[in-house]
Amino acid sequence: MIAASLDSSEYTAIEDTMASLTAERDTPPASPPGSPSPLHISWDGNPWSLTGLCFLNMLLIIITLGIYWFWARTEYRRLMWQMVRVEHEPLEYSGTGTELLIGYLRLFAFVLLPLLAVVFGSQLALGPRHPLVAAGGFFLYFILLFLYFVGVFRAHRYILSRTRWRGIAFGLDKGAVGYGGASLWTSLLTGLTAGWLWPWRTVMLRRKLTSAMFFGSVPFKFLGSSGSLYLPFAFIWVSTALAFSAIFAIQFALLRLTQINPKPSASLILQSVPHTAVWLVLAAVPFAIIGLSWYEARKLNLFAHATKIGPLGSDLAATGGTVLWLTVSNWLIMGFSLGILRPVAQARRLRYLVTRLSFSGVANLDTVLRGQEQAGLQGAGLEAAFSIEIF
Amino acid sequence: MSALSFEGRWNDGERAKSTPVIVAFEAEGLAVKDADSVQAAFWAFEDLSPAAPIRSTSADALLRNPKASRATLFVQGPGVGALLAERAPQTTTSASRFKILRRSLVFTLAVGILAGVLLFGHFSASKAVANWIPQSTADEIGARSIGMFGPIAPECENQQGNIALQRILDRLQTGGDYGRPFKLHVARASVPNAFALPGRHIVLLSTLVKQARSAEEVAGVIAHEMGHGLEKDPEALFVRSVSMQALVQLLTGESGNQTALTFGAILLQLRYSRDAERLADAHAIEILKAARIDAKPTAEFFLRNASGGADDESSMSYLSTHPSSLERAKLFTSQPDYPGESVLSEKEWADAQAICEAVEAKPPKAEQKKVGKPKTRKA
Repeated sequence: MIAASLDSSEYTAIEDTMASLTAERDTPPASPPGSPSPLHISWDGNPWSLTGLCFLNMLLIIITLGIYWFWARTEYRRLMWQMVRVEHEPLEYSGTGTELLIGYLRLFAFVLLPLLAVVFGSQLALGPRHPLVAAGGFFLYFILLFLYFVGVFRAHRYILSRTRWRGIAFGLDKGAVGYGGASLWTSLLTGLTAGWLWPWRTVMLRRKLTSAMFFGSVPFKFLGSSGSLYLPFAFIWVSTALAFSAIFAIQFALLRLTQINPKPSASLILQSVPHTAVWLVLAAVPFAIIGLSWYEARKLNLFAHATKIGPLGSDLAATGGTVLWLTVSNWLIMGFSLGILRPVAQARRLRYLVTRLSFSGVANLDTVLRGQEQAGLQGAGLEAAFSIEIF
Repeated sequence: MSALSFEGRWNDGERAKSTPVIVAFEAEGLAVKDADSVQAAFWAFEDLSPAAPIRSTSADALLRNPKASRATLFVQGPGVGALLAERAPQTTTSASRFKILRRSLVFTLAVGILAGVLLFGHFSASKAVANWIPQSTADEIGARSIGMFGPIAPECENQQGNIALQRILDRLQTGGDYGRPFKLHVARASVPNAFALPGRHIVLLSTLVKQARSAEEVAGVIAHEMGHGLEKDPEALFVRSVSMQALVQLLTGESGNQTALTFGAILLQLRYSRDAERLADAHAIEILKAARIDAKPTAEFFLRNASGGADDESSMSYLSTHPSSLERAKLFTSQPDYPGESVLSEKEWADAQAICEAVEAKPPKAEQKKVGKPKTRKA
């Protein structure tokens, strides 16, 4: 239908026209057609442009008793995806609010309602204090946790399968159950190791997820390990441990005081509380926050660097300071808006990632073909129920 | 390039490579032309579908055409959004939002109508489920609830008092056919209250019996609780409380075995609707009449407790969860007169009122020994 090749002079003429009309945008690379070229990713838009839409959608959600929420969520994602430009062309989100609603209703009817019936029926039949009911509740917790992790994987599949660039869809292969199981047992193991397995777990799960991803006919790979995360993690761990120890010391001192004097005066309380412990708590909290930002930035950089899309590599230039600012400012945005401006905060985070991301290597887009397309609704309900984002 | 032509990129959806094109806005649609100005595709405005809703201020647009399979067309240039908004309004933000909103409002209206039908049709999902609870299960739940009260409101076991109050219940039950018999319990508590539990258990708190001025007043209260039992209100309340607890357990994974949430406490704290209370009063009037017990003393009981401030919604008194005492008193006094017979004799009534006092007055045996004759020294 369209001429597959143009000679270089004609192509250059079109490029010049584009450059003159879009002077404020980045100039696309002038590469001859058909040959590999580095991919360029950029951001085009202002997250704050979603502000009016957030308030309008809030109103629509209220008057429709919540039903509009599924379409509002879809609209936000479409607009955010549109702001992400690869080779100056936007990503496309093809999911619909109807899919989210149907998925959510199916989740409710086939998962939540049966579970509720089991819990309700057992309490009715056996009484609330029956040992089987108590054991069942304990077992149910793990079932729900497993289902949540499976849901996270499937939600990623849904979002990726509805994300396209130049008409080519992303996707996620099978592996939800394995992901759910791995998430569950590594959670337990992390608890047993006082949290020290957390960075390893994070990277292991990310590897599972990334290795199952594809863009058209090109699979993703994850080539990275968790070693670089342990230094910032240790920082967080020690700060948190010190803070908790100090809090226990303060609680212990107060307990001893109340045993001697059930109604101590304020001055007595101040005298009894170990001042070192108080200073430790006050110092440990900001240290923990700094450590978290440092860890988050390193994690993001690691994930980007470890991810390979065919011959393409990627890198992210996140820093602890900027992550901290982004996190705090997003908290403030959501806090002052009572959560209404959450999409603005999400768009700011996506902008942060996109503007610091770069690709390396060459991509021959001629060889990237349309792959298997996943049209199923699996994961739609979970995405809606847990408000999962893939960035 | 003409004023209505823009640069664009065409993608066939089969490969990730896109081709630069010129997009001309013609009368009926978009003409996609290659570098030689040869038209390679034509998309009618009415067929256009945006990848994201377009605003009139948009400087580019990613378009699809459902009739053109997977191909996408990316058009960019100042004024693109305005032109598309004018010639393909279905691609705009407001058009897509209106379409969705219309459907959402229809759905909301349907839900509202259904809710209204259920509400004004007096349909109760919990009561529908309660009707399915086996009798033995309901009895067991009621008995367990009473067992839970033990530490806070022990049952009074004065035999004479129990016999007397049971006579009232027997009199009420023999007046008509009310199915399975009710079971009466009296518990010691400082709050004047009474309530029905699943399995046709009725609990009177001792202070209510003590404050009543006649057996007929107590009969009115018991008859009201029988009304709740006949309507299966306690079972419906149980279904609601268990559902809430099950939901919490589902969401938090916590076992329902928490001391603060015993079923008795839940049942005490949860309230019947005012309509349920009115219905129980209506039953009470019929039960009293069938048992030939005067309903007027019950009205006096309401009025007396109302003037004592028991209409305060925040209090735990018997009347705090019920419709206005004045309204209830009017209902009972408005009933036509009928010949009534005394429920208990004076002695029986005195026994009934002392049902819990006899337990308090009697000191433990260890104390009795201490209080006995002082020892005398042997010469």
